[in-house]
Amino acid sequence: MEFAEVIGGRRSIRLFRPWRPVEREKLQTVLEAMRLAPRLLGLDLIRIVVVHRERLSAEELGALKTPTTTSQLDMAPVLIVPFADLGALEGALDGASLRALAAAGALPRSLGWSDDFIETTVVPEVYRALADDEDRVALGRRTEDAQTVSRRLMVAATTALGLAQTHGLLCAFDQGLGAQLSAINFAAAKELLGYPDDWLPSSPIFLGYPAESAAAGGQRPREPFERDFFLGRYGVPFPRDLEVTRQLADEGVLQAPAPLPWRRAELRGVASMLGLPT
Amino acid sequence: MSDPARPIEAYRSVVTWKTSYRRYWGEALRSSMLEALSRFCEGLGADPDQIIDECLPPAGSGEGVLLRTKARRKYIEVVDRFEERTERRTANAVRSFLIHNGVAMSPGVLAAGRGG
Repeated sequence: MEFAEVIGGRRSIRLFRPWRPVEREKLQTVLEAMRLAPRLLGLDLIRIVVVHRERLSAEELGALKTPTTTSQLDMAPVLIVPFADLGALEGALDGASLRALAAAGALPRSLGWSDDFIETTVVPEVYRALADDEDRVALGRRTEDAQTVSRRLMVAATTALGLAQTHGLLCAFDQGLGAQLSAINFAAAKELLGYPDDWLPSSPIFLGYPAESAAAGGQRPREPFERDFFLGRYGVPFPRDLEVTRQLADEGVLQAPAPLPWRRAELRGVASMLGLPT
Repeated sequence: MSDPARPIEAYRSVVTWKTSYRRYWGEALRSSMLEALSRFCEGLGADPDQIIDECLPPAGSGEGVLLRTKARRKYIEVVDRFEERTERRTANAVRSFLIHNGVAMSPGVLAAGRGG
C-alpha cells in the first residue's frame, strides 16, 4: 500500500472478525515497525508484550475487560501492550547507547557530537539531571509509598509510547489489518503479564482483521485545518492551499468523509453477525 | 414495575429510547424489544426511568461519577444474568434501551461469532 493511502485509510477499527487470526509474519512486521519508531533522548524506552486472545482463559480475558471494551476484547485476536521502561534511563547513564549512535554516524561530529561531549556534557546534564530531577510524579496510584519518577522523564516516556503506537497502527493498516488504540484493566494486566513495577503501561493496540469494510464508514471528521494550525504565531491560521488538498484527495490521503451513505446499514449488519445490540 | 397499570411506552426513558433508535437506525423499535424491556423491569421490580436514573443521576444530585460507574457495572451484570434466563436477542433489547439512554453497554461477542 502506498504511504499516502496508509495515512488516509487508517481508522480506529472497533469491530473485528473474531475468528480470523493474525498471521505471525504480519504481527512481527508491526512489532518491527514499533521498534523502529523515533526515540526520545536516544533512550531505549519501549517494551511490548503481545497477548493472543485465544491463549487466555475465560477468567483471564474477563479480568482484562473494562465496561466499555468487553466486545472489542472478545473480537480482537491480538493485543499489543506497549510499555515505557522507566528504568531504561538508569541503564543509559554509562553513555554507551549515545556513543553507539555517534559511531553509527547518526550524531554528526559537525554538530558537536563526540564521545567526550557525551561523557562530560550529555550524560551529566541531560541523563543524570533527568534521573535526579526533584520534580517528580507518582508512578501508578498516588499513595505515600508510591514509586516516583521525574516528570520530564514521564513526558519523554509518554511521547515515545505515542510514537511507537503510531508506527504500529500505520504498519497494521499497511499489512491489511485493522487496529485500534483501546483500553484494558491494567490492574489485571499487571497480574497477568507480570511486567516490572517501573514499566509504564499505555493503551494497547487491538489488532485483527476488520469486520467492517476498509473504509469503515468514511474518513473521520476533523476540525477545520485553519482553526488548529498556525503560521509563525498563535492565532495566525496556516493558509490551506486547495490545490494541495485536491492532490491529496487524488493520492488517497483525503478520502470521502464519514458517514458514507451505507454506514448505518453496515453497522447494523456487523452487529447482527456478532450478536451485538442495536 | 412500580406501576403495572402504566404502559411501558409512557415512561420518559422509553420515549427517549424510541426517539433515539428511530433517529439512529431509521426505523421504529420492534414490539418484541418493548416486551423484552417490560419483562426485564418486571423481574427487577423497577420501572425504566428508575433504572436510568440509577445509572445517570440527575445533575446536581450530589451523586458522583464513581456511583454512576458502579450502577452501570451492576446493570451490565444484571443484563448478563437476564440473558442467561432468556436469550441474546432479548437481553440485547434491554442493552439497546440502556445504550440509547446514554448508559454504555459492551456485551461479549456471541460464541458463534467467535467460532464461525
